[in-house]
Parts: sequence; structure tokens; C-alpha cells
Amino acid sequence: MLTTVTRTDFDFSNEQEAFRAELGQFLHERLPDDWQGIFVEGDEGWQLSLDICRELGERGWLTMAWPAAYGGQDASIWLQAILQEEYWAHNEPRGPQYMNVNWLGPALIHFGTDEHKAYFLPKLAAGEMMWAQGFSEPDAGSDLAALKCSAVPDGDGFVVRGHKIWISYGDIADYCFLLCRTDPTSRRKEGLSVLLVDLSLPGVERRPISSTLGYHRINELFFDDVFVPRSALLGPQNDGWRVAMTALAFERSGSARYARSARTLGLMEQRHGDEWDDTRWEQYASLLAFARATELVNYGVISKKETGEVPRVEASAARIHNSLLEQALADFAEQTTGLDFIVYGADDHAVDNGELESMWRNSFAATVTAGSYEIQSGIIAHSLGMEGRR
Amino acid sequence: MNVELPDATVEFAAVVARALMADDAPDGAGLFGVLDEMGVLDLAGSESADPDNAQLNAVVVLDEIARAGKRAPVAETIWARSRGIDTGRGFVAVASEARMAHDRLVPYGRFALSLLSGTCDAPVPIDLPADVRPARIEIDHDHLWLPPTTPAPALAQLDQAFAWRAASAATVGAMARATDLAIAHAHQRVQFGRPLASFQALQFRLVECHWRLLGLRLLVREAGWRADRNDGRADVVSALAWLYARDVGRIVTKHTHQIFGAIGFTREMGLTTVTGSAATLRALYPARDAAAVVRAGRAWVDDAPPSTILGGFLTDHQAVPA
Repeated sequence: MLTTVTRTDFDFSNEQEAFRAELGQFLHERLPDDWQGIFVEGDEGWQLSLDICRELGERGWLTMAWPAAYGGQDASIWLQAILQEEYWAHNEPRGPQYMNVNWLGPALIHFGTDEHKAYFLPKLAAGEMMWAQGFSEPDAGSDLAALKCSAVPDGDGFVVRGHKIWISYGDIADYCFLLCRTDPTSRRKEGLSVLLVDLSLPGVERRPISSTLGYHRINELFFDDVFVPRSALLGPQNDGWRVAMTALAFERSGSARYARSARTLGLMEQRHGDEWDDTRWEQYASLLAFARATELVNYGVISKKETGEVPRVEASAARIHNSLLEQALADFAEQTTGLDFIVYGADDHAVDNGELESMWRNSFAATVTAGSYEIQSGIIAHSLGMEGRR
Repeated sequence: MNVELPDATVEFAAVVARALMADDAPDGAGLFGVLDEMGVLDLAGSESADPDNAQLNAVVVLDEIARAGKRAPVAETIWARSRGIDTGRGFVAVASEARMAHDRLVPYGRFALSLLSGTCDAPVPIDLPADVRPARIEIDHDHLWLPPTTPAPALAQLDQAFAWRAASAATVGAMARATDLAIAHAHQRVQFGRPLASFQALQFRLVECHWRLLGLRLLVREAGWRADRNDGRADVVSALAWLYARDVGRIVTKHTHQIFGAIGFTREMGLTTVTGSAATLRALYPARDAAAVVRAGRAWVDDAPPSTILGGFLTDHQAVPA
């Protein structure tokens, strides 16, 4: 049921800003000075992420806006937005567990059985479980409906066979949200199901893929006749496309990537602003304007969610804003920061622990991951009455 | 936080949009009568129907007026009335700072009955001087040249932040109109046996127009909302809105003209009038002034940069008229 808006407000409340300050102080004190997220050499990063997530869970700072019945606090969706902003601005100390809050938990609440909710949700709220998203395959990327990974019904379960690729956190995750074909005679979006697969099961193999996007960033998962119990089925059998698309809608509108951009803009200005002439400052001011518009589009998604709407088109617009903002920042960094943007954090000459370099290096992936720019544009085109040709 | 518009604003904007669609006169006296009757010209006044949202309502309505393809010095008249200046029974024009040789441009002066003259502290409407003459601007007619002998403050001198908000709102509306026209054309025009709207390369141009306008519109509304509250960052956000409006205006102009092809340049289609009006605004209000206000307002308390854009601005920064 839709509610009416009686009061527009472009500011967070004083109480919400106080919470932001408290959270920011905690992160400042708890994270090492050289913290650059978990995609760095060695295992220290994600081990620290696990420790911090448990602490955040103890404080109730992971799943505030979830229903109290599922380990949340029934808090305002705007408090959750502040959580997202501060975590992203501090190089996402939750590591993979940001997905737990953004889309995995909501999908479990929406489609899960009582058994699923009782087993998984408390662990997610406590920061004790890492997940990977098993969607893409070698021949099914943006065209996800072409996927072939099969899960053949067998007694009280399924036998899974297939190959998933480009899986973030696939090397360290405990479970996989696996989209697979449970009806071998089906085509495209029909006959798919979502299985919640324990990645410690026999027959699962993980292979990291070396890339410039960072350690742990992308991996392959191989399923060689892995037996998965029927209790792992999320949502109706053979209706997995709807389950996955609902989860993706949660994902696209849940990441506050723009907050990291706001911080990176400030870092560039702090270090180089005094060197810029008026023309450069015009470029920079225009970038700040685009960044503020990006924040507002994200806030627009949250405002609509609060009234009970499912803002799929706005979420795609927000995703495009977030990713193109990162690329605009990268372009500006190239023009204004000398070598800062290419010297890796581990180098003696690295600036700000390589934060700018990390942003620049990953910016090219921003329009590729989590639903490409073209997929998001297609969703908006459809809403404007323009059909594509398949 | 809630960036949705108040219900009352949505309803009022819808009433204005319906009235504008029903009004055959694109500009001039007919438009003045329609807007005056609905109270649009008094939106920002102290006696407006909703003083808490006067500036917000003003930018929303200026957006609707431009989207309906109407052109006149509406913002200038709204500003004058907000200062208690009696504009009589017609639009009042305000000179701009933009000049060629010594003559100054008067935006949409052809539709005005009077001109704001005198000093910045005490501007008064006077009859349009006899020696004004039409400006030949091929992409956007209806402006006048004002000789240098007439003392007339520019809108940016009177109220720089208001001028940026008004120009931003007019740009949103004009570019939304260009996008509406282009989408309709893309559905009708068939090439290679298919509507243009079925070609992905063209779809993505229109999609970019759509998402750019979504963000810009929110930014313009925020500027109006902050102005209503005398917020210390109202001027900075007005400047940000104008900087982004300039970028979006250029992007949407290129995309929509590309969709239309040659027919987009005909007078009958009217696209150049829409895109040209936004270009005129960009010429009237340079980016450098807005960027200077943004630069002067930047500051944050801690060493670490903030995680929000507005967290990087002073909370009590006022724009200084150029």
C-alpha cells in the first residue's frame, strides 16, 4: 500500500547524523591507517573483515533495518543508508558481507522457508557467514538466461554439475547463491531454480583468477556432481529466474558506492586542489555537481522503497549514476594527479595508501559488474516503451 | 530524508501543466493571464499559498512551463513580485550581464510589458525603452538588445542563486521536452523497416537523456527546498544545480538532435527552439561564477574527507553577487 508524502526533506535528521558520527568514529578507530578493503595481497584483509563484522553484528550495526524477528531492529531505512555510506566510504570493511544485508537477507526473508530463516538469518545478522553469487558462466554473462549449470533432481536433493565464473569472494565464501537449471528440457528463463549451496560439500572446486581487480576479486567455481539436499531450494522449483531477479533488484539499489566517490573527490582536492587553476576548478565543481545528483538519485530509490514501491527503473538509473561517476572520477584523476593514480598501494611512493590508484583501476569494471551498463540501460529503455531486438 | 515532492506541490504542478496544454498561446499576453490567474507569478511571494515551499514550488512550475514549450520572462516576473514589485498586467523583463559590444541582452524581452530598471537596491519597472531592438539569435528568437544608456540591473546581480535555480529549472523542462519529442519521433519514424526506437544505439541515447534528467531534476528541487529554509548551503546547491544543468543541457541537445536527423532542424518541428533556449541560458550564466561559489564553500572539519558531497561544504556560505 502506498503512503502519501506530506513533507520533503533533503537532510538527514540530527539523530541520524549523530549516528553517522558515532559509526564513523568507530571505523576510524578500528580500521588500520592503511586499510584498503579486502582485495589486497595476503589474508589479513578478509580476516580483519570477519573480525569487524562480528563486532558490528554485536553492536547490531549490520542489519538495522531488518525486521526484529529476523535479527534486525526495525530501524529506519535511512539509518541503513547511513550504514551503507559509511562502510563504502571506508573501503567496505564488511567485505563480502555487504551482500548479506543488501540482497541476500532480503531474498531469504522474501522467499525462504522457516528453516532457511532460522538457520541463515541469525548468522548474517551476527556477521558470521560469507556468501558468493553464482550467476555468470563462461557462455552466460549479460545473457544470464543462457546458463547451463544443471541441478538434476535425485531422491531428496539435486545433483549439481556445472561451471560458474567471475565470482567475487568465491575463494573464501561459505555458501553460494546458485542459479541453475533444474528442468533439463527447459530453455532460457524457464526451468531455473536457486539453490543455497554449502561450498564445503564434496565435488566443489574453487579456482582464483588472477586479475588486476585485486586479490579474491574474481574466481571460478566448479561443481562436479555435487549432491545438494532439497532443503537448499530457495523459492519454488523451476521459478528461480523470478527469485534471482528480485534479489538483483535489491542488489542494484543497495550499494552506496557513491559514498566512496565522495571521499575520493575529497582526497584529490585535499592533495591537489591548491595547484588547480580556475578551469580545473570548473571541471571539479561540475564533478561535485554530478556526484550530488548521483547521491540524490540513490536517495530517490530509498524514498520510493520507504513508501512501499519497488523502484526497479530508478534502481537501474542509480546503478548507472554510481558507475559512471566512478569513471568520471578516474578521468579527472588522470588529468590532475600526476602519478598518484597509477602507483599501487604496496609501493613506497604510493599516495594515500594507493586509494586513488585502487579507485582508478577498478573504475573500468564499474560498468561491467553487478549488471552491466547495457543491461541497466535496457531496463530503462523498456520502461520508456522501447523494446530491444533479441 | 525524503526527496519525493509534497503532495500539494505535485497536485499544483499537474494543474499548471493541464492549463498550459490547454493554452494555445505559446507565450506573451495569453500565457501571462493563465499563469497570473493560477497564482504562479506569486509563488515566491510572502503571501504565496505555501510559503514553506515557495522556492521549491517555483522551480517545479518553471520546469513545467519549459516542458510545455512556453517561453517568456516568467522567472524574472516571479522574482520581481517576490520583492513586492508591482509588475502590472504583463511580464517584466530583466536585463542580463551578457553583452555584445555595449548592448545587453534582455531575455524574452519581446513578451514583456516592462523592464526592471534603477539600482540593485531599488529596482522598479519602467516601460520598455524606445530604442530596444530585436536580437537576431537564429536558434532562439524573442530576445531584445538593450542600449547601454539604460540603467538596468541583471537578474544575476539582483539574486545570483535565484537566477541559477531558475535557469536550471528551465533547462530541466526544456530538455525534458526535447526528450519527449525525440521519444515520440523514435516510435514513429521507420528506417530499415523498423522504428528508430527499436535500435539499441538510439535507445541508449534516449536512456541517457532520461537518467540525466532524473538526477538533475532532484538537484534543482533540492536547491529550491534549501532556499525556502534559508539553509547555509542553498547557494552552493543552486550553483551545483546550474553546473550540472549546463552539462545535461549539452548532452541532451546532442542526443535528441541525433535522433531527429535533418527534420530536427526545421522550424516546423520546433526542436531547435527548445534546445536553443537552453543554450541561451548557458550563455547568460557562465560556469565560472557558479564554480567560484562552489570553490569558496568547500571545507570540512576532520582530516579525512567526508562521505557525502554536502559534508564537504561550509554550512553558512552565501553566494556573493557577481
